[in-house]
Amino acid sequence: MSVLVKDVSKQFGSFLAVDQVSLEIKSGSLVALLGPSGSGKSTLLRLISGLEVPDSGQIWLTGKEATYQSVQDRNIGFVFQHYALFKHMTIRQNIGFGLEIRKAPKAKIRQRVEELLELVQLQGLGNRFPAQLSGGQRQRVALARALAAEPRVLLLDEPFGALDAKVRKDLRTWLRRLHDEVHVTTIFVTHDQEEAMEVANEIVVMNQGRIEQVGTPAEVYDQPASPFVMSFIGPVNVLPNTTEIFQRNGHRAQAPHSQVFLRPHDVVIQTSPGKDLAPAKVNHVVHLGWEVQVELVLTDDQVVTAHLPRERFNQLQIQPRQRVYIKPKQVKSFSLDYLSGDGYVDQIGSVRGVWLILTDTYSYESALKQALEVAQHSNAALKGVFVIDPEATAEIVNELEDKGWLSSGALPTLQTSLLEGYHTLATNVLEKVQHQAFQAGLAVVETAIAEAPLEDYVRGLLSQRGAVVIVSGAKALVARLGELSRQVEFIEETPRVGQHQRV
Amino acid sequence: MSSNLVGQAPKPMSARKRLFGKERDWPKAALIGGAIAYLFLVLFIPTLNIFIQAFSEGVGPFLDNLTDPAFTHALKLTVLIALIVVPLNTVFGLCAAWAITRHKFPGRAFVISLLDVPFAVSPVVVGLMIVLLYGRNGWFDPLLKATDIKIIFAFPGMVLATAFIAMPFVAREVIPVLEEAGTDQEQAARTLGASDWQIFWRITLPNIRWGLLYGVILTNARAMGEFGAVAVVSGNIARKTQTLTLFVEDAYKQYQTQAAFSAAVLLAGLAAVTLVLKEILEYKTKIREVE
Repeated sequence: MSVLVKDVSKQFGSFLAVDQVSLEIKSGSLVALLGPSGSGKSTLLRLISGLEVPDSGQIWLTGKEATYQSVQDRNIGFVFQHYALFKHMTIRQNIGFGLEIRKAPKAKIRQRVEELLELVQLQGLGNRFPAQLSGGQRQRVALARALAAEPRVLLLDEPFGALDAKVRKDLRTWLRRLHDEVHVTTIFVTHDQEEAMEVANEIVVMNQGRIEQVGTPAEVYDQPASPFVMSFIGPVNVLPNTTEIFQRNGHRAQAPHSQVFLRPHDVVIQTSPGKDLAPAKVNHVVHLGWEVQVELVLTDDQVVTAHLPRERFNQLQIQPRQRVYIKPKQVKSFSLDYLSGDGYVDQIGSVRGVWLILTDTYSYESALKQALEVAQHSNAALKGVFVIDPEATAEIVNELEDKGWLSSGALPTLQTSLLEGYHTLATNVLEKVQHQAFQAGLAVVETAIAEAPLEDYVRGLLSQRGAVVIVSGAKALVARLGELSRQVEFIEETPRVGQHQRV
Repeated sequence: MSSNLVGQAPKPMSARKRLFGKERDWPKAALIGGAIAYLFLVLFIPTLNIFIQAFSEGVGPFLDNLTDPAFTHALKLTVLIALIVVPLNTVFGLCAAWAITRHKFPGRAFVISLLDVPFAVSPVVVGLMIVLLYGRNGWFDPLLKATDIKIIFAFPGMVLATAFIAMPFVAREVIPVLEEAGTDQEQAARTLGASDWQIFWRITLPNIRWGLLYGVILTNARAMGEFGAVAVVSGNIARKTQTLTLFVEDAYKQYQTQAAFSAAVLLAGLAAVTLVLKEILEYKTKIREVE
């Protein structure tokens, strides 16, 4: 592990830029921090570099804690969006600056500078000044300068943001190749999902100061963990589940108002009616090169954008205002409504893990069954059990182990009880669960929450985060809370499993 | 009807354009002529007159005037004051500019406007303020009497007055340059391992050097040319507290017109050197910007 970020938060005035973020980056990987502006990606990068100091949490570099280490001592390479080359120095002096500061012998500096000039393909330009180079060349000098002192980590803040499209494209491929040659752990910030997909082996998707998902480009595209990731990475149609195309072919959800996500290339278009096909009118045709974008209007006025290969488009001979028939190939939904009630297991899309919250001993058996079922169905693991009955914790864990549901000692427990009453208790516990589950990129399934405010809370939580929570036996707890409240002290034990996202 | 209009439109337009072009030459010529005439009247003729008067009786008397002890003393004093005030104000101006551009602190706007006070206040008033503070019955009078330090009618007072008058130039010149340079390069140097001290000498200073030098030159010009404040504070005692500007005035009042103009020539020479330096700097800065 090369970079470890542990529960790091950073606030600027009243703006929470980075909110309890944990992240682990393996040595030698090429990672993109991807997110819209204000998502905290640049701040996270600057926290790793030491240009900003976190309000809380820890930062480790190559196995050593570096949270309060000065930037100078961290031995990192940093590349700025606007190059930040030293204007009054030649390219050679720029590249050699870091080594000179470290008092390296002159001959060695000269040799290393020549090496780097060759690496960034700028031989012969060493005696020029930055102002005499093009934008792309300048950024390559900035890279060479950052690499000169053989940094532990290379950090790039929107490195191609100030360049024009063509140069940007060239530099992306070039950076990819450079990383194959140099192998230094590299983290770069970008708001361009295409750039992240093209350059990085791992993508960290950020939104509102938190990490939404960590995964390979294929993972974040094919198995987005939340509605945010789904809509941020690649184009998507967001439709109410009442839309005709879903009603016709079993994608229909049970509760109203939930949203269904449909990628434009997952729309099947045919010119003749058939089973499962919904009629639509062609509104607009746009040629995007090898793909054609067709805007369709359904009979209930929903607009659906479809992408199809040019070949298929020519085959169908689609004209504007023509009537066609469409169906979805594959859809995704993240809504709570979609999951609640019997049979919810069948409808769960991608769940990366299940956390179970047990509020008392009475119902744990069925709750656990449900949790395991969900986990099995979605190929995820049961990652943790929260037990909110302090008296019964050891007992439950023992029983679970006896029944062979748990491997011994594998599951952490969280004991907690609050003195204020049911809502506070539940909310607090859920906050903790939300916190830890999201940090770990897990989903949690909810079943038996009866109280309306809590349900709203979880619903809101899910619509934001795309997570699923299982809580069992909440009602039974209320009855017992009176007697518990006076006896129990607040105990917290942080689970160790799945605490960091692995990259 | 409308198609007709469209067809005919270009003709009158271009005719009118030509007319406008000719008309515009008129005020242009008038303005340029006026400006040149004004410059001649206000700047060039008086300056020329200084030289004519100084050399009206030949080079010999001019050189005699320059070796007059009262004159040499005034020259020494002027240079000495400048030698103290310029470095002092340069260091202060740098610190102020750095604090203002690199930090957000309460009262920042107030400090910026405070920098302009020496521009706004008349030099004579500045002199008076210093007299009221350090003179007889002034605030610090008891302290000065007890320690036997003389400020008014003495060298320290003249330095104080000149320092006050010439204070804003360095900060005023450096602030925009520092702001334009931004913090990116400094941060980059930090990530490369440079200490704050190394960053200042190797990154910040080279980036602002032309602005800083320009500020220093302006400070120097102001320090050497200051009259009003120094006149009030110094008491204008020949061979004691007389600077070059005071010497010029004194000589003129005593009908030693030639001596006055000789000194004026030297002051003008100093000013010319300053101007040339300033022009060179501006030229160099421009080249760098084009690069």
